[in-house]
Amino acid sequence: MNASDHKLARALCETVVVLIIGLLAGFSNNALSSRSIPLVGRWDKAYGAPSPGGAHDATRGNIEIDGGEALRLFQEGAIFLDARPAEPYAERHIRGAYSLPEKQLAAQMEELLAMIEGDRKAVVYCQSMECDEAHLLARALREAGIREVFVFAGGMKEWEAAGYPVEKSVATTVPLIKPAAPPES
Amino acid sequence: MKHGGSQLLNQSTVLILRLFLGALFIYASLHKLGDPVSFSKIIYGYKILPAWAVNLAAIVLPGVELIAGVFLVLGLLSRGASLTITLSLGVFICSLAYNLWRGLEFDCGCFSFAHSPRGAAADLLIRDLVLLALGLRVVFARRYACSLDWLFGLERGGKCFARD
Repeated sequence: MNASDHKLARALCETVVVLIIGLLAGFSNNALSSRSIPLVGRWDKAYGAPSPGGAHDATRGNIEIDGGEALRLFQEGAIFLDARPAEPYAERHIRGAYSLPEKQLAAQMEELLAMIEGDRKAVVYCQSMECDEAHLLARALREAGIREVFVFAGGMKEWEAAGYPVEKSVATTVPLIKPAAPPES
Repeated sequence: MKHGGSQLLNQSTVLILRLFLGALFIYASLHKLGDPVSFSKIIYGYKILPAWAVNLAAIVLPGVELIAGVFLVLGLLSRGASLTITLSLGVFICSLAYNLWRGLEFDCGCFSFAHSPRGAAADLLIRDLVLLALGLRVVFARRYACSLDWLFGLERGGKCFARD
């Protein structure tokens, strides 16, 4: 073995040692983290919205429905809530859906609870399988006492691809997030 | 005397690069270590790893970044630490280039979880190529000045800056 072979062998040995210590550091950090994840996540879209799984999973406890079920609830008159930000909502949304960006939920909760009265079911959605606003909103709604909340996991992307009814932001939808109105006299 | 001067310059350059790359990797690892949930989503967004490997990568990668960074700053197993950093930069570069080539939009997640602006992938690629070149310079250094390797006798020479 010449000098350069020896140097290369030592460099590789050192790399293996660094990698093993790094691996242990990574696992220890995850075990102690308040945002820890399980070793294997739920990233396969065949089983619903992809997520890391575990205690901090946004999808935990929510009921996901597919496009067919969402259409059935749409025809039954369920209330649809669009959890995306205001701009994509204004551009296009499921016909009759209300805009409720997940981050603005706290400000809108009373208004919303008054609207979802009795046995009316709520369907929440965001852009596609890969957004988690709908899941976060669904969880918040369940925690607020609304029992029949469903997450349409495929979201706007699947709805549009199926050719189901959509609309632009028009006056008839009365979004929860309204433009500032002039003060009443 | 001239020869000794160039050795000193070389060793100083490697020392500065070691400290810079090490500190950069430590900094880059911290937000990932603090939030494995968000980092796993970033890794998923690259759409490269199979479903079963996403969480494992999100758990292991920040740990390796941190340890390689700390070791490089301290000068402990310097060649191994710099080779680890260079290899991980190689992996980032391949992932970035692959996604740039197939036109996939994704978040880098390199230094924060804030959404990166569109078209930023090409800039990232150039930045990582520069870092890769710097990393290779450290991997192929003749010796590591002022390092723990030197203190523990893993490096030859009897001074912080040694002559051959």
